[in-house]
Amino acid sequence: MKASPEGVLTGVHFMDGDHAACEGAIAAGCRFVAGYPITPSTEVVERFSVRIPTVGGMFIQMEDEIASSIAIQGAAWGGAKVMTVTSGPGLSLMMEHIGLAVMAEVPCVIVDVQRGGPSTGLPTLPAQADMMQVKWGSHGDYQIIALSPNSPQECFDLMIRAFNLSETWRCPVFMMMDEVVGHMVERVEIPPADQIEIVPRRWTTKKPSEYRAFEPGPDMVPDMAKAGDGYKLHITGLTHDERGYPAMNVPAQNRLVRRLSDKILKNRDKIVDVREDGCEDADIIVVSYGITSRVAGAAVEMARGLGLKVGSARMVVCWPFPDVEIARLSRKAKAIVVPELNLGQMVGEVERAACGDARVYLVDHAGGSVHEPERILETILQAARDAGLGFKTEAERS
Amino acid sequence: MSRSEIRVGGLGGQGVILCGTIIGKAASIYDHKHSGMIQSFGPEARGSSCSAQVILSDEVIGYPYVRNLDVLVAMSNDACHKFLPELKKDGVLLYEEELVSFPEGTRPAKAWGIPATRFAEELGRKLVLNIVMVGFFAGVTGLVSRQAAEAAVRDSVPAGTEGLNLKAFARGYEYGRELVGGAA
Amino acid sequence: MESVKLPAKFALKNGVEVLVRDMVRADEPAVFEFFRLLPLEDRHFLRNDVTDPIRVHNFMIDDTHDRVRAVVAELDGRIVASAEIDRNHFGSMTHIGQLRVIIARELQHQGLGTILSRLLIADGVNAGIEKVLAETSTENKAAMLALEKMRFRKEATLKLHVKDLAGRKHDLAVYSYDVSHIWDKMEALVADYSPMREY
Repeated sequence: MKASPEGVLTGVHFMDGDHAACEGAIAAGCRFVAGYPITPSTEVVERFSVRIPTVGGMFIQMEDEIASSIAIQGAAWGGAKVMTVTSGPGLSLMMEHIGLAVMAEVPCVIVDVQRGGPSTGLPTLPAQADMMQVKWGSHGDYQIIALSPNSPQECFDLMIRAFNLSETWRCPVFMMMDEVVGHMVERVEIPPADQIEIVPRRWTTKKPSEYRAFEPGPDMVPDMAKAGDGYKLHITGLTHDERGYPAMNVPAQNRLVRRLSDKILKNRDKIVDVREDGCEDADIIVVSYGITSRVAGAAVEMARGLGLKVGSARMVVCWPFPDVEIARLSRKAKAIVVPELNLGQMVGEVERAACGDARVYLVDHAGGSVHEPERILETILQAARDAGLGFKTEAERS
Repeated sequence: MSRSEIRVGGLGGQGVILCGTIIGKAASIYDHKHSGMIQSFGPEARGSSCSAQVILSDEVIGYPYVRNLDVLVAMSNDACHKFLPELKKDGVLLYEEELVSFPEGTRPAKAWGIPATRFAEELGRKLVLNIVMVGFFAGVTGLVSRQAAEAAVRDSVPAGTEGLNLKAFARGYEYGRELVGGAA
Repeated sequence: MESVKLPAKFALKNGVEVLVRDMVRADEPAVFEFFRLLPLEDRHFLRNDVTDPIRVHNFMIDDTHDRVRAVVAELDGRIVASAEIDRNHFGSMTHIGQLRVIIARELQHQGLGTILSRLLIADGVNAGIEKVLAETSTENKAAMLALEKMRFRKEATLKLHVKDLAGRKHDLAVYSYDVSHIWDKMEALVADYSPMREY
């Protein structure tokens, strides 16, 4: 269905990623946000708190992130599209409830504007060091979805996709922004509402007497029931059967936990988004995501200028990890270079998928800024030398 | 590829970020180029030194920060001398001439001063000094067109204040054009 | 509020079209004529005896105030209204604009006062004025209503303050229109902290 025109700020704007993310959420139909403002994500909720009363929604500033992450789940069961917004320290506090959202299959979007960590770290400076935390931070086995925008425009566009994915697959979806993307100001084009595709809530068509809250459909995802329509619900974080009642035994655990993972992994083709550029005949491929992909682009251009065949693959969706795509690329390329604003997180996944077919190089960064393109270039050149590839020197080029 | 790197520096409260925003907006929305603005962020933005980095480019901007500064717009002495070392050899310095001073012989070759605060006060409101600087920037460098910059000013300031802000822009623009010897 | 580009034509309620333009020094004879033709009871409330050419000359070159803008309305080549907004040169009240509007009898109650006031208030705001003041005798109900429609607030009534021609005392109403909120937003915008609000 199309977005409701109410609240869609159609037009060309010059705004930062935080504000664009807020507009994306409103356009996607988000009408409830609970949050505990934290730099560098504050502007998202600041704007939402001002904008949302005009379209009939609600923002609550909660006592902390623990409360925020559970309040949104209450609102989701009440029928609203919901979001919470935070940064590293807040995300750490939310972990318990993220597990609940996975277990109870609550559609919700969690925005993490990443800053340098651990702990309070660098409040006003960027990092991409929460990438593993969103995947593994809560206990137990589970899958989530995580998107990685690299511009204010994508903060808007991907926010809509984040909501659509959360409604489709009924799981927490993470918007893995970072301080630079959140605070950089660029042109943002917001299309008319009738050009924005929205996934509505999966309301059941069954009668209350026939409805079983956790009975999956053919896509392995159960439908939801509207509060107040006479459906009886039992929602729990305990292992449950298809009615939602606790069933703490091995078969029920096996069935439920496997389904929660499989609904993401077996539908991964509908979720994964890798943007490839010049990878067809590339000897070296730079795999990146988020803000780093922009800097990597500059390095790729420099390397091509030196006569190397360098491709770029950008993971717009980081979780589920695009292992099939990376495996394919690594069979063709001699080396893969992975720059990221951490000391090595997604690079481990790349190595796992490459499985030795291509040598994988990390370009790490402890956070606080973005890579200098020269640092990425240096690693590309090292990879070229290791692979015996010839290239021009900077002097020869000029 | 044509890429221009600009830094606007001054004291928090002078409208440093608004100045950078308007330059970026003029380029990206009204001159149909690519531009990005990043402000120095954090507690230091309030009251003390504060700056904005603006990149203008004909192509998609990869690296978002200043690396090779083409133009420094300085509204305070501190900001001027803090950022002057990053200005490239033949870079352009635009400065508030009543707030910035140079030790003997340290004024860069391409430096243009403007009494922007005094102009703003004469126009009626000191707080439009940053708009005078936007005009001065457009007038001296030509990196954004007059029409685009005026549209961006109109679009960025609160309703009711457009008139004075546009006057402030024109004052800075014309002063700048005159200094570099172009017709206003 | 953007300044209105003058000269400009405005249609009044009675369909008559007047030309509004900036007052210039060459208008002195025409302005003198306009004042001279005002009925005594209207002239009585002015600051000066405008039948005295020297007084009118002084009004034209007004250097006792910082005149933000003065305009006249013209009909068939005659001046039919004069209006100005001015403020003190110096001191604690440079942010206060004083609004003065005088309209020929034949064109009163046709909305001309409101047109001229709105135009001058916009100029005041754009000159940095934060508060506009206007005074009227409480006898002048039409003027009071017009000011209230323009969101002026009656700030004070000076009891038995003015005398009419017959020596009877009347209240003087002092109206104000606080436009500082317009500049408060600009103030917030130049605070250099998260200025990206466009909602």
